Amino acid sequence: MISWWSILILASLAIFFFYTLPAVIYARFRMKKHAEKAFHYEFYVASGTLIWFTMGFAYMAAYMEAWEFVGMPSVFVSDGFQWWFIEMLFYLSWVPLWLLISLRLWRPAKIHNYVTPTDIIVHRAGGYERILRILLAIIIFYATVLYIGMIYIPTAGVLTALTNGEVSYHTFLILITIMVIANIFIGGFRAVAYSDVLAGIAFLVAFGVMLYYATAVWGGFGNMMWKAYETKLAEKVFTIDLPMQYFLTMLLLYGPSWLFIPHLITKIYASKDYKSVILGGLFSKLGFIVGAFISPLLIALSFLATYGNQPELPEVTVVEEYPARLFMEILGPSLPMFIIAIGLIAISRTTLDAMMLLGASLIDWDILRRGLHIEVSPRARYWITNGLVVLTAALGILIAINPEHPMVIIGYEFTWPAYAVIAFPTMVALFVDRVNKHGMFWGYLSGFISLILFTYIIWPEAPHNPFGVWEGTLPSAVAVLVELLVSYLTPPPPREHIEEFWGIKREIEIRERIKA
Amino acid sequence: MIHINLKLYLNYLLVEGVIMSSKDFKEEIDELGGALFAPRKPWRWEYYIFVYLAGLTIFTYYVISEMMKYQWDPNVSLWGMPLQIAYAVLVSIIWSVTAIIVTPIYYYAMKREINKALGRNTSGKR
Repeated sequence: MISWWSILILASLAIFFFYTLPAVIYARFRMKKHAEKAFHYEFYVASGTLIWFTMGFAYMAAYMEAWEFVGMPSVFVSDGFQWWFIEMLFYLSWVPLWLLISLRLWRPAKIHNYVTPTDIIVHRAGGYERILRILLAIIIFYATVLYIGMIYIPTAGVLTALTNGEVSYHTFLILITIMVIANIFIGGFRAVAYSDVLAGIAFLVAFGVMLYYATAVWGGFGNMMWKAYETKLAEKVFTIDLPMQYFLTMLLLYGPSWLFIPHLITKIYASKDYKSVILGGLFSKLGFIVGAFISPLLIALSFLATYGNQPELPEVTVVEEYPARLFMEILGPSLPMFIIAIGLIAISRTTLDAMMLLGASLIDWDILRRGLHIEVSPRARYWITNGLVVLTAALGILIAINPEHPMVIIGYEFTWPAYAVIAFPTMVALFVDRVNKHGMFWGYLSGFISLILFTYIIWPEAPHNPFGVWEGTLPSAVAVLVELLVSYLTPPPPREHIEEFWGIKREIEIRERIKA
Repeated sequence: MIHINLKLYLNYLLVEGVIMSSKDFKEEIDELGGALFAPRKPWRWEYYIFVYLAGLTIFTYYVISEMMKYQWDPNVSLWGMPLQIAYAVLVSIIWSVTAIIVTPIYYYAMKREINKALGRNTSGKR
């Protein structure tokens, strides 16, 4: 027999679903108009029609998510402050570089109506299209499934903690998946973006409640901070034992690798105009301040202040349960706790849905349609698309069933390095016209092979290299070096191809017509 | 004598795609949301970002060295906060200020680029 509170938490999933339903239905209504013209372009990137306000919340959702909000305070407490601090460092380089890269990604994306991150790469390469599409789709899909698994861990962990373990971690894994998939089925990316607006509002309310209670219990932030810092556990938590080069490569390589992170790329594609790209980007920083800086710091310190002098930390299935445990301890079953629960559900789904769409698009668009040239009827296409969303979600669940590490460590060690071997050769190709199809193909291939070799065979222990640098450093360096070397040893790409990629001819035509 | 019906001739050109109507032309610019006028190569001032990154590397090296030197020590504080937390706050202030400065610069630069292409002055008037 489970308690009324656990039933309420179970019901809160349904309550949250119905709260976002109007936005999802509105998305469905708007989607119909665009889907007739180009189904995939609408389903996966909302036909590039989202205005700055919607994009702002969609970008905010990228950081007001379980990885930052739940994963970071948990790893802060379980593995040390330094793992959270490197997330602060990566943002130092990401912020100034974001618009430099995103505007250059947006220009060809808008001109050629790209659907997946792979589109821009194969178009720029101008050759090896089928094999390159399949190779890139596999690499990105591999990392995306890991990412989805990573997000599932705190999502289900938090909810099970809210019920004091009365409803199992695995039950919540299934329930949250059903809720997210339902939204995607109804309205694709547009539904995801519209419900991000409502989810963002729900989370900000919950954040206010958390901020108030977490500090009020300790008589203010200053008292809580020092109380936390002087506990027995704090000595272990605040010890810095990662090597200097790990921090520096996090700043200089991990940060820039996030400039081509696939779920942010599809958000660039979905932007209606330059205001959506630039102002949306600003909102992502607001999301980062709330979701990645203030909340994790506050929750981790409050957790330390509460449990830091106890002989053992509370017993949990996954460390990501800690934040929910903390608030249950402070508030117990109450209205503020229910508001927090809704906020936690809101942030749990924000990245999951975008990542599931991304994963499905890679198989659907890149492998089946463009790689293998499989043409199907519109009806079959609809079911294949939705079936692939379910498949992506199911593979993510497999990762999350029995996690071996905290989610943040999985991300740094396995997921982001896989994205990095795509990101760096792509960014080099955007700015160096001399890079050709041969260079790009061999660059990606060698990057991915070296990633697998370094991570699983040569150096299976973290950080998967003997130099103490971030896990993504060596495979990214191999990918870029091979790309440049092969490109300069082979003929340059045709000038017409580069001009077509950037839409130069169209730009000149329009400029001349304006002058005339 | 051959009479040329100008209206019919223009329609012929439109149908054959020899010229585009002003509506199509405007629609094309609107649909692309300014994408054609986003520069493909970095603006000259954007290279300063890399100088800024070099500065951030030195800053990071200093901060991490300090944290490694003092480790956990309740007797060491900065601005009334434990050292590690004070540095985290400092880092967050730096990226927040960077975001606040960089966003309007890019917004203005893009707006200027579009206005220039459309033959308007910087305030958007022709």
